[in-house]
Amino acid sequence: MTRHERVAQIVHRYEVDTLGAPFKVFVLDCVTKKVDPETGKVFTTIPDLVGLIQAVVRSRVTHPRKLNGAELKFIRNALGIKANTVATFFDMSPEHLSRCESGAKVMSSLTEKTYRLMMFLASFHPNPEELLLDAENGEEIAEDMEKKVKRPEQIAKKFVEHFLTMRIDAAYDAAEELCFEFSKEPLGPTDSDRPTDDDEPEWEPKLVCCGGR
Amino acid sequence: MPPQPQRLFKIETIWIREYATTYLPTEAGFSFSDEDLRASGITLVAVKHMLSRGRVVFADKLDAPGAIWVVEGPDSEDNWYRATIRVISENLDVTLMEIEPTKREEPNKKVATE
Repeated sequence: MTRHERVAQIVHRYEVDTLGAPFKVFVLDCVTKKVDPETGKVFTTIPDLVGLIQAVVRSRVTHPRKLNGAELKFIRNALGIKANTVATFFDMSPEHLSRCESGAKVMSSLTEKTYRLMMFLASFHPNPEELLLDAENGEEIAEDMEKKVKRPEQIAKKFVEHFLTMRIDAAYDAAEELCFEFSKEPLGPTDSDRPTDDDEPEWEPKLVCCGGR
Repeated sequence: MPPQPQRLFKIETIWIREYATTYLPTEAGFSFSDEDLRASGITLVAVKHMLSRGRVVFADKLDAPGAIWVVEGPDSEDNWYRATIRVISENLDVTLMEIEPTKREEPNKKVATE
């Protein structure tokens, strides 16, 4: 914090409504707000925004509720993948993907499951678009993932856990809004409590339901 | 008088691109004004992508710690933005001061990382 700013206050439950997600995302106990006396503006500080965006994507693709058009588009955008790349990878025309994302068409369950699988995997890659392009070009993505991704064994375990048993839930109460809460373990006050690069705490997701049932 | 060569902010561009694509330690934060962002209709996802693909076109040291940089770049849908950010690199602290849509960069313009 610069000398111009007042003391930051931690927000207990902060709704990240500026993320662009078509469902609710809350962050617990690690977002701070502070006033800049020069401009009088209130500034919100989110730690590890990149990690949070990836965690939001993972939470949604592992939730069994069928993805609607806005969610398909959000997941693709959140990972920074161009529509053409996704359409080519999933063997569909860009027009069909566009219709699925606008809600005019429904993505088939099989394609949706593959979409979820690939987006889950891509969310761990430093450049998700590159991963899809490499896979499309028949390159060895397993080796690439091992090199570029931290803890590949854990990812593989999560991958299997989530998707082997997943059934997409196409019938659900539309009034029940999806809400995800995320928290991050606070750092200890001394240097010895600080995690190293490899054990930096990840965003801990939790599903909560808003409204409806 | 001959035209002055355009300064390329290579180091700043590399720094901000890395910042916007890397998992960061808990104490490193990205700050923004909720009110301004809501009013602009620009999402945090778009901001993250424009910072990771953009280039720094202006940089100026502040009297206080840090510097002001202006970044121009596209989000993943090729919408172009111009963002003014305050950067304190030693703390990995980035504050979004202002962001607005802008016109697409001329294709023949030199890119900082070239």
